[in-house]
Amino acid sequence: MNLSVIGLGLVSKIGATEDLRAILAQDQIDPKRLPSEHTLAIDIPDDFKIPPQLVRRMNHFAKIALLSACHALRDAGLDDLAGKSVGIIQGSVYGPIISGIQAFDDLIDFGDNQLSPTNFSGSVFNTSATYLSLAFGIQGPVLTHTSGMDTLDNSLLAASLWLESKTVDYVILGIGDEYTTYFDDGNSATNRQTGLLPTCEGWTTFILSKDEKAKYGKVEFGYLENLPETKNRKNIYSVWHERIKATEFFNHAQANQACFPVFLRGSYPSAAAFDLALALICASNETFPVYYDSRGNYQVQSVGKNELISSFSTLENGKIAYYKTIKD
Amino acid sequence: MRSQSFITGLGCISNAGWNLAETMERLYSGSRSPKPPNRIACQLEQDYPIFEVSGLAEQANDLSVFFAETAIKEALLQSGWDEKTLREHRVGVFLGSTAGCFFNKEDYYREHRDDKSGDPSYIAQVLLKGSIANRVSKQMGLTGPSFTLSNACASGTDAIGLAAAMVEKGECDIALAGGCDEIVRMVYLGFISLMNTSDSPCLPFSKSRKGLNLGEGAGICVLESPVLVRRRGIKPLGSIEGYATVSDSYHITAPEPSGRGLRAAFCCALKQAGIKPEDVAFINTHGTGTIENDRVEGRVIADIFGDHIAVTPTKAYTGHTLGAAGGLEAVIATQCLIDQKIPGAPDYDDFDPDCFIKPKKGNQEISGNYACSSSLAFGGVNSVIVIGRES
Repeated sequence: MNLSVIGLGLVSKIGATEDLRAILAQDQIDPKRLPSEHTLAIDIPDDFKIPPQLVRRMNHFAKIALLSACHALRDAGLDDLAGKSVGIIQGSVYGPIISGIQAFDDLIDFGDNQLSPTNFSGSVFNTSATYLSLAFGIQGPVLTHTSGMDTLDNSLLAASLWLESKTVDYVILGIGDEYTTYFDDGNSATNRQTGLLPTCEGWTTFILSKDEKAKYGKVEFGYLENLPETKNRKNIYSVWHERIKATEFFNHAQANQACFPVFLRGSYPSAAAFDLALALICASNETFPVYYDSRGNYQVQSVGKNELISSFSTLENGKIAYYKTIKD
Repeated sequence: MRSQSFITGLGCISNAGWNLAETMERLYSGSRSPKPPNRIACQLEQDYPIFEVSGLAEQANDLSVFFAETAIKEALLQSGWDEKTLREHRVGVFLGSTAGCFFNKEDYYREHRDDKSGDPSYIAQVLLKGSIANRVSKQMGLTGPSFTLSNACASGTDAIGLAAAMVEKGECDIALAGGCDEIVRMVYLGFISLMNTSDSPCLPFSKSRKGLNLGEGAGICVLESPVLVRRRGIKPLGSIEGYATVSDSYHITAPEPSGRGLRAAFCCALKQAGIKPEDVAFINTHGTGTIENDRVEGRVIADIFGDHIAVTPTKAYTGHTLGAAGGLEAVIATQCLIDQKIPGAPDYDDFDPDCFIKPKKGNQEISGNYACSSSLAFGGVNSVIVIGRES
C-alpha cells in the first residue's frame, strides 16, 4: 500500500526539518561541523498552544515526541484537529528509559515504599501517546508498540490498516528514542564492536493520510527482494540505517549514490524513521547527500525528477526493508 | 460482518492454571488463591495479595517470554499445527506486554549500579535483541510480522485486534496473538504507590471493593484466515468479529468519568461486528476492582447493554495480569461462549449502585453467539473485541 505523507516533524541533533533542509542546501557537508549533542534540550514553543501545565507534567521522552508531533502537524497545515478523525501510533525501542531508571533509583536509594508514582506512570511505554492525545484532544485509536528493528515497518503497516479500513483519516505516526547517560557506561569492547549502542536521541513524526496529492508524496514499503527497481538494475539514491548492509545491496543493484545519515542524526535503534524522512525531504528537494570521500564528507547532488530515492533498514528477521518515495 | 479471522487454538497460563482446562475448572469452581508475594521480596509494612503463577522452576529466560511460549504451545496443539508445518506459512506474532518490556530488568540494574560489574549495557543489549514478540518469533523460526504492543493494560486486547486485522488484510496467514506479563517488584510497588492496590482479595464491581490484585501469565489465540481454515477442513473455535480502541484524552492514569472513550470503543466494535447490543450474550469485563475503573466501566456497560447484561470479571480469579489481561480474558471468553456458561464473581455480595451492573456470585448459563471483552488502560486507552461463536 502507498501511504501519503502530508507532514514531517523532526527532533534531532541537527534540529528540526528546516534545519535539515538548510544543511541539504549546501554543496558539501562536513560532518565535523554538525552538532554532536547526545541529549537534546526540548522546549515546546508557546505558539503550539500546548497547555503549560500539561508540559510541566511530561517527562523528557514525552516532550521529544510531542515537539516532533507539533512540528509535523504544523507542516501538514493541521494546527486545529477539531472535528477530524485522527489516530496516534508511537513506536520506540527503549521507551521512556530515563523514567524507568529513575524509578529503579527510587527503590534503591529511598526504599520500597518511596517509589515515585510519577516516575512509575511515566515509565509506561505508552506515555508519549497519552500526552499526544491529551495535548491535541484526540479521541481516536492509539497504539504504542516496541518492535525492535521492525519498529518503522510495523508502524507503517498498522497505519496502512487504519487508513485503508477508514478507521481514521489521518495518522500521527511518531518513532524515536531518548538517550540516557546510562548508555555511556556501555562502552565495552562488545558494544564498540557492534556499534549499536545509542549515541544520541531523536524523534521523527509523519502525518499520514490517504490524500491523492501529498506534500511529500507517497511511501511504498516492502522487502528489498520485491523492489522492482533492483531487478531492473536502476540507479537508486539510497539512505541506509546500517552501513554494513549497503554492501550487499550494491552487489545486488547498481546503486552507487548512498547516504549513511548517522552523521546527521547520531545513532539510535529507531532511527530508520529519520532516514525515511531524509529520503522524503530529498525527494521533495530534488537533492541528495552523496557519500563523497573517506574523511566522511558528503556532496549534495541534484537529483532528476524521475530518479528513485529510497531508504533501507534491516529487519529482525534479517531481511532488508525498502521505503520507496513516490513523488506526486 | 462475517469474520475473516477465525480462532483455531487457545492457550493460557495464570495463577488459575497452567492450561485452559485447569483454568476453566478453577473458574467454574469459584475458588481462587491470591497470596502475599512469594517470588518477589519487598520491604513494606504490609503485604498486598497477588496472583502469582505457582510451581515455577527457575526460568532461564524472562518469565514473560516463558509464559507466552507456554500458552503458544498449548494453543498450537489445539489448533493442530506443529512448529515445522507452521513455518511453511506466513505467521505473525502479536503480543501485548508491559513489565516484560523493561521493568523486569531491576536485578541487573541494581547489580550494575552497586558494583559496576559485568557489562553495564546489558539492558540496552536485551532491548536491542528485539522485543518479546521478536524473540518468540525468532525462536520459532517464523517470518511474519512480529509486534510487541505496549498500550499498558489494554495491550493484549489490542494485540488480538491488530492481529485479526492483519490476517484479514492478508499480511499473514496465521497469527499468534494475545498477551504476556509477569509480576516484578517495580510493578507491584508502582501500583501500591498509586494507591489502587487492595490489601485483600479483589472484589470487582462490589461496593466494598478497595482496589486491584496483580496477576501474571499469558493468554494466546491462534487466528487463521478463512481460506486456511477451509483448506485444513477444521472447525474453528470462534472468530474475532469486531475490535476498536479509542483514547478518552483525559488523564494519564485515570479513566474519563463519563466513560466516553469506552462507550465509543464498544459502539465501534459492535458496528464492525454488525451486531446490536442485545446480540451480546455476556461481557468479560476489565473489572479490576478499583473504585474508578469499575464505576466507569459499569456505567458504560449498563448504558449500552442494560443493567441485566451477564458479566464476568475474571480478574477475580487471575488478578490483573496487565499486558496479558486482554489475551487471557479473550481466551476465557471464547471458552465460555463454547461452554455457554460464565463463571461467577467470587465473594461478590455487595451491589454498588454507582456501578449499575451486578455480576452473579455463582456460575451463570448464557445463551448466544457473541461475547465482548473490554480493557481500560493507563493513558485513557479503551479497547473492546467482539468474539463470535462457531455454531
